[in-house]
Amino acid sequence: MSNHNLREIARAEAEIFQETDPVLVGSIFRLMRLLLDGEPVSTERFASSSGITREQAREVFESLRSWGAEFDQDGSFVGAGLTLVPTPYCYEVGGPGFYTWCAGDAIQFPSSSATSRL
Amino acid sequence: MSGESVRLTVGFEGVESFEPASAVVSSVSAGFNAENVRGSICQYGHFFVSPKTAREYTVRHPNVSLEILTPEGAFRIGQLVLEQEPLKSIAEVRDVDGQVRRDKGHATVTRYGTVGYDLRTVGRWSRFGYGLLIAAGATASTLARLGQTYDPAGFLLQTAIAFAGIVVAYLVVCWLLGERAFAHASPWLNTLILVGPALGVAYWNLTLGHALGFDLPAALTLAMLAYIGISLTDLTDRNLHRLRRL
Repeated sequence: MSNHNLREIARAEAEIFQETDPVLVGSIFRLMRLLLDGEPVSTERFASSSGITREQAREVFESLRSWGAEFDQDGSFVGAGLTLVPTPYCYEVGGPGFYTWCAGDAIQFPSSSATSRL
Repeated sequence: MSGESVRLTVGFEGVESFEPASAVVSSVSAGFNAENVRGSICQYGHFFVSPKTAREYTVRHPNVSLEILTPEGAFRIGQLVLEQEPLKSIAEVRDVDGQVRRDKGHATVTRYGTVGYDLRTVGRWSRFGYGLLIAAGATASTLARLGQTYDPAGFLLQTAIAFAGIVVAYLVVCWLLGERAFAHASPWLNTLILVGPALGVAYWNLTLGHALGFDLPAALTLAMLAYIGISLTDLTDRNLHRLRRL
């Protein structure tokens, strides 16, 4: 595939983020990073790590739920792109236990996160 | 998709290895839906052990714009997306020295008007006004004291030394705690670190110092006021970034 086509796909993917609330986009990246600890991310943990109130964190979680992010029965964040919910795509970083929503996430996540291994 | 395993090792800079060597990835190339990312993109992004099995998959989905990519191609798309806004701003964090560094995946939640994050235009100019008032007050007090002291040059020198000491002290604190510590601490705690000692020194003589009979040197008090004032009036992005951290 030509470099031009890769750029076209990348431009279209970037437009998705441009059409999304920037607070949500930033939150998704922060949450994925917190998720690398291997535990669901509660509103309290997200609030304290982001310097926002629990109420603001709950609002972000609600928006993310509508966006398609995954939460456990306690309401903690468990996935968006990177997930703790099993999928066919295992993602190993410092041990097993992670999955991704699709093949592209598995390949692209290391360059957009603090991880270096798949 | 055929049930066979595809295994890759990926680093920051690219795909380091994958097996089988014929492995490819399917990717949606058009028709993205921002409100249904998983349904419109992710459900069609799979690993295949060969281009042949990938083509069989694309034939079964004639209504979806699908491309078959090498693992390196898929990685390259991720890099290109990160080079565009809004992810570019999320992934890049400016250091105190103004250099742009890649902070992989780092995201900062900013909310307009939230103290400790970004008060935007109103906050910037309010900060500038307060800083100007404090700096002007410190200057006026210094000039007034110069007229009262027997040794104006000595007093000026003491103030300058105290000012330099304060700058060094704050730099050492920043260096010891590190930008990342400030970035992850509560903004109220960071504000207290900046304002607490400054206000304590600046107003000690007017409060507890007077009552306890232990006055701080006037030069130190004026130097601290000057430092606060000058810090607040500096509206450069570099300083605003630092103030947001502190």
